[in-house]
Amino acid sequence: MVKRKYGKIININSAHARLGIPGNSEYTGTKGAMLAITRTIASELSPLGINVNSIACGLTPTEGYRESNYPQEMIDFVVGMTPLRRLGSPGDYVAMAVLLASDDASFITGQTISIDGGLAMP
Amino acid sequence: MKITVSSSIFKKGHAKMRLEGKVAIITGGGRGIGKAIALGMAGEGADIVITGRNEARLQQAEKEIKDVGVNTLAIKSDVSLMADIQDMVDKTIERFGQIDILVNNAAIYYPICPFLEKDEDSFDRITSVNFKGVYFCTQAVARHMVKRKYGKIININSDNARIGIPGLSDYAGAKGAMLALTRTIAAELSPLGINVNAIACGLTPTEGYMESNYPQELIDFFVGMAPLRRLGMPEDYVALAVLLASDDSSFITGQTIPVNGGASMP
Ligand SMILES: NC(=O)c1ccc[n+]([C@@H]2O[C@H](COP(=O)([O-])OP(=O)(O)OC[C@H]3O[C@@H](n4cnc5c(N)ncnc54)[C@H](O)[C@@H]3O)[C@@H](O)[C@H]2O)c1
Repeated sequence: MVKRKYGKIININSAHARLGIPGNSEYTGTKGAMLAITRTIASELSPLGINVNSIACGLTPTEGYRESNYPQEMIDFVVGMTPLRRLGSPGDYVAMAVLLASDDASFITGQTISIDGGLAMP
Repeated sequence: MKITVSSSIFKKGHAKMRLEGKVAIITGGGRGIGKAIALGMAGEGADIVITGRNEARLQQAEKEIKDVGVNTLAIKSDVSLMADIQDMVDKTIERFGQIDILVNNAAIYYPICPFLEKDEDSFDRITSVNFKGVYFCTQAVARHMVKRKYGKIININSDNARIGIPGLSDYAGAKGAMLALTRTIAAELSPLGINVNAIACGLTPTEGYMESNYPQELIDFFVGMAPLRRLGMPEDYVALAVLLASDDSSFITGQTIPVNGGASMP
């Protein structure tokens, strides 16, 4: 990308990076790392023409998510705390990803944008 | 599990005319960032209401927006006056029957001035437009939106809410209030079908901004700090405003999203 002075990097992060949700500490640690490197890489690569951003997704019942075996009470608690009162679906992240991949977002870099129904409001 | 996003989002050419059939109010939409957002929303098919205090400027902007090909209404209305706010809502409902989108954009600037020298007059004027105005415009419009269980509220915020920029204490304080208000109103209104979000803009040389008299060294410092190494342009905020006004962002609420070249990365 730097050779062409053009690029859009989008990291898929998680609400876990910003919230303390019990269990999964090594997973949340990796997401905290992603939050930090999104900033650092943006500060290094954006002067070279590359936008680096990330989307922090809320709980979304995908196949991978089911492997975490979240207890139902915890899911209910999270949904109750979420202003939009629902879980995410994969389609919820598409429009923002498209925006960040497009030149319409050329002034956005280093950001981790929460799309999680309002669960985290940094 | 209820999937709430329509699969049309995956079709080629989906992102066109996403605001058709919607009615948007943009306060202070006569110039600057507000006017760019009004034009962008018109381009996506929304009918547009712009408000402001300067009639000649409003009429000029109204004409430009109408030329995009949508219905447009300009209302002389001061966001710091309760009667004007109600009048803005009443006239919009009278003309269009509904309000789907509110962009709280109107704000005033004062020349940069050290905190220790600030006086009550500028504090009162800034907070009455930049905070009280946002507060009660949102309340008046949201009272209408909750009846229809539908609404998109977009606050135009600033980097100032999150970074300490010297000389702008009252302006920054009002923007900090907006940051908190965006969260609180999202928590209250999102269960009722209303998304509340904000765009935190970076330094953008609009006419209003010129009134702040930023010293050149401060501007240079900002541009040097921002990984993208430039100031903003009103157009930079349009695509995100359209996304937040559309149903493609139905799972986003309570967020204040920086569009600032990376000057701050909260
Ligand atoms: N320009 C920047 O650098 C910058 C940076 C961050 C955030 N912002 C925010 O962007 C928004 C737009 O600012 P801009 O730079 O386009 O400024 P601007 O002065 O060019 O536009 C502001 C508009 O609001 C109107 N307005 C002011 N007081 C009003 C009132 N009491 N009632 C109704 N309308 C009123 C003005 O007449 C004007 O049309 C503001 O909320 C501002 O705080 C601007």
